[in-house]
Amino acid sequence: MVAYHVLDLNPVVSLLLNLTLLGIICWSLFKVEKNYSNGHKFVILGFLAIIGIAGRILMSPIPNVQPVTVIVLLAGIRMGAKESIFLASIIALFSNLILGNGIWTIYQAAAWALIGCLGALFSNRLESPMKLILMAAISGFLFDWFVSLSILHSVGFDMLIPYLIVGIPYDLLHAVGNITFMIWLSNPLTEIMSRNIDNNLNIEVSEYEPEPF
Amino acid sequence: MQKYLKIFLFSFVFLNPFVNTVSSEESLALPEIQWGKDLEIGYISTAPLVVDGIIIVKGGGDSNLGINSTIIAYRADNGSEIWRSDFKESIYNFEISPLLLVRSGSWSCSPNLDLIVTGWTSGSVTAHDLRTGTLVWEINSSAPSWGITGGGVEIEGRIIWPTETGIIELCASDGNILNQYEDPEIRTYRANIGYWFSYENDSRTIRGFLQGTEKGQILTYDLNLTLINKFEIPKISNLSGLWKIRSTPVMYQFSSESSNLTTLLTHLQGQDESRLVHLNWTDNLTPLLIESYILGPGSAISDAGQENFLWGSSTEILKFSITNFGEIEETFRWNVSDVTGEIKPILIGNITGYCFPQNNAEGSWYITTDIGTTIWAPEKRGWLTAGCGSDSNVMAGANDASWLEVRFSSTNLELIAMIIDEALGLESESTLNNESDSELEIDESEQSNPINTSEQNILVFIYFGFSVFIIFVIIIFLVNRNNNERKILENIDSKHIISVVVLITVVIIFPQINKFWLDSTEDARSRLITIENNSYYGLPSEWENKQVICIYFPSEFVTQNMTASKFSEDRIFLDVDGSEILIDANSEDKVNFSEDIATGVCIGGFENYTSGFNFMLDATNVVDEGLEVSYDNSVWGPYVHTIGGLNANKLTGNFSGAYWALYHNGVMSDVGIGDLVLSENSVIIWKIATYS
Repeated sequence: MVAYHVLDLNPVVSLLLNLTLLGIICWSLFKVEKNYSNGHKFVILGFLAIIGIAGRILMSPIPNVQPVTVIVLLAGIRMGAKESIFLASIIALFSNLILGNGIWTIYQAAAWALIGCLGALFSNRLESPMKLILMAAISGFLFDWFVSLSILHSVGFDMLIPYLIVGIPYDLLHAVGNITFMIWLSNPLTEIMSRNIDNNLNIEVSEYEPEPF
Repeated sequence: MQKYLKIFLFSFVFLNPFVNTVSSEESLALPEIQWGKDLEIGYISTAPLVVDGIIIVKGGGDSNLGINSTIIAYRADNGSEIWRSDFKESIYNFEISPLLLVRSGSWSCSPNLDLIVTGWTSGSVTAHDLRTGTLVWEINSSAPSWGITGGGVEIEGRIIWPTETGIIELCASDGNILNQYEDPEIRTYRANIGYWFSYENDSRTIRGFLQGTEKGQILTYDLNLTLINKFEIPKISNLSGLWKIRSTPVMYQFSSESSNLTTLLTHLQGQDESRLVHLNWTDNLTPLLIESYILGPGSAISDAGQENFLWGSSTEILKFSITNFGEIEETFRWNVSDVTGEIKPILIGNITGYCFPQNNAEGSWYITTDIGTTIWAPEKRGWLTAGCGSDSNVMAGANDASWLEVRFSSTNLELIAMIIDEALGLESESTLNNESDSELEIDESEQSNPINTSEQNILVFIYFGFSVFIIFVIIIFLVNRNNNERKILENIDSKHIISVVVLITVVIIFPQINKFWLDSTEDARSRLITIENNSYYGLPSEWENKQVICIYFPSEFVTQNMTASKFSEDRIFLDVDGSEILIDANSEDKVNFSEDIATGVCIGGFENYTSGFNFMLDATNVVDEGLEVSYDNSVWGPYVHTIGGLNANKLTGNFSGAYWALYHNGVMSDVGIGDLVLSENSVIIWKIATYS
């Protein structure tokens, strides 16, 4: 009997397979969501969580490029701080079940929650696409630096700055990834999130009509 | 509609560019390992030679076990022994002179059969028949201390080989000495013969030969081995101290209308650094130092008569090219670790590359080609290795554990078997069979195709990806036929496309960005780190600025019958006379370099030692009843495997191997204990390190 599990895939091939899978998940979810969602918040949050978890796990072959930061940021801006905190924690927990759990999970959850809260806080001012892109880039750095704090559990404070310096190319990669995801995901996700807003007015978020890209 | 299509498109835009990253770092796929074998012929101190699928290995024997130095030939396809030539007892148990293939030919001195020529520490040069291993001829040269350790070249059936005290030219067909130069004053060690080229009207001719000596001289000979010049390279390069040449020099004359420029390049090995010097002179003027590259300690041994212009030390390998104006320029630099053996060009299919033997803890081979780089670690790790060799189908590596490991692609098995049969003059079974013939043709066409298997995989997946994509597009159109959502691409504008292109570009060039960033911020970062790096931290205060050795014995590895057992429960400090120094328990806790291994012995308070090895032997003698140190002697100096009865090679646990790791003033030493030069405030630490 052929044991398929021993098939050795090289990283590029597995990335391609992952992206194919991600494409299928996103496509089917968008389809399903459109048919069944009546704008209930939980359906939307579940939908966003699945996209975030699948996106993070499946894109893990590329370091630091994943859609989660943009999803929680948009959730913060369009839905509210509480919703983004929920998303941040759920996505961090479930994706780390696959990617590896540890002390960093709580930092990742906290960092994404922070970004979601910042999004909610500045939702009034983030109405133009350019500002959203800028915020996406900034949150890449912000997230990485916040998560980097977790190394203080094992090394002294004087190691932190050199550690952050080493990570700057990775932060840059995260920022560029975020910009791309923001450009691609902003319109579809905003549309889904605002369907909810129409039904239940949420005072935490912007009353501005989002400008399409 | 548009939204999910966008996400979908976005996923697939990734497909194409990533194909290019196949050729980036660490993506080099070597052919699979087919077999490995313990040859039991002692240290294998020169790279295996692979010719027509035949692997020839030379071992130094083991006089304790009564094993003579030996050459063995194996078939790559099935690992069977073709022949074995028992030479004679080797005094040093290492035979380091490389193997040279001399093909049969029609020159007056060309042999009738293909020969394997090599030198021996007894001073002999021998020629063996490639097919049968029969000794065809043997000549002797003077061997006052270590005999022949270098490699030679062949030109038109004439063999030019370095001897310990000079150079010799032999007729390959019968071993007759044609020319010889000898100077009892000189000594050569691992100094391969280099070429003296001249470039005129775009053609290159060999004008003579070069030879480096243990005193850093370069002797230049013409084609009849008449000594032309003797250059004192350290003096010309303004270097003081002892410098040796243990690699292959190159000299070339570049004649143009206006000038006649001669350039000499050689590697010089010093005490704890080495140099690559570049000298120039015109006509008959004196040589001038043009450039002196400061490299790490030790010499990497470049091929005899090298045409690749590769030099290096234990820490880097440099590649040079000659420009059209006769200038030399560095074209590539590999940062490697512990390369002390032979750096050899190799072939993997049609791809050329190099093999650098890394004598680090793992004892691996660093394989680098234009399409990628990889590390080949043998099954028997932790042994010194001289190098690896290849023909276009077969790769072979061997190390001092007498271990030979062979790689080739299984799809080439039949082809290799046929090549071997042909070389050995056997009637190949597969040629009798028409079916196999046609298969063989397919093999050959694959051989000439530069796309390797992993790239083919990628292509398959790209086709797969695109077909899936097209199917989805069709489904989407079908599903939405009745909707008004046909304007699928309406909202995808230049911004979307540019962002993806930028992201892909950044991801692809990310390794370069990262490397550049790390290199350029290295200084700044190291200034920021202020960790306690005083190596006397936690040691008795009276040892400050004196020489100390600490040996850590992890309690879980030490058994009662080892002399180390009395140090496996606590950390003991012994003074120069062997008396124990008791130190404050609080400061004992501060020993920062041994957080995990807190038990062992430190012996300190010594002065005036420069040799790390002598210091270690003397200091361990201070211990009551002794603390014995056992080591293997190798070409690269003593290799410590046992201290106080604790043999690192025999440890077992949740790791695949262990070794005694040497730290000098808090950092892992990049030289062995035999080459370690101590300062007055040296603190050396031995501790068990493992690898998985």
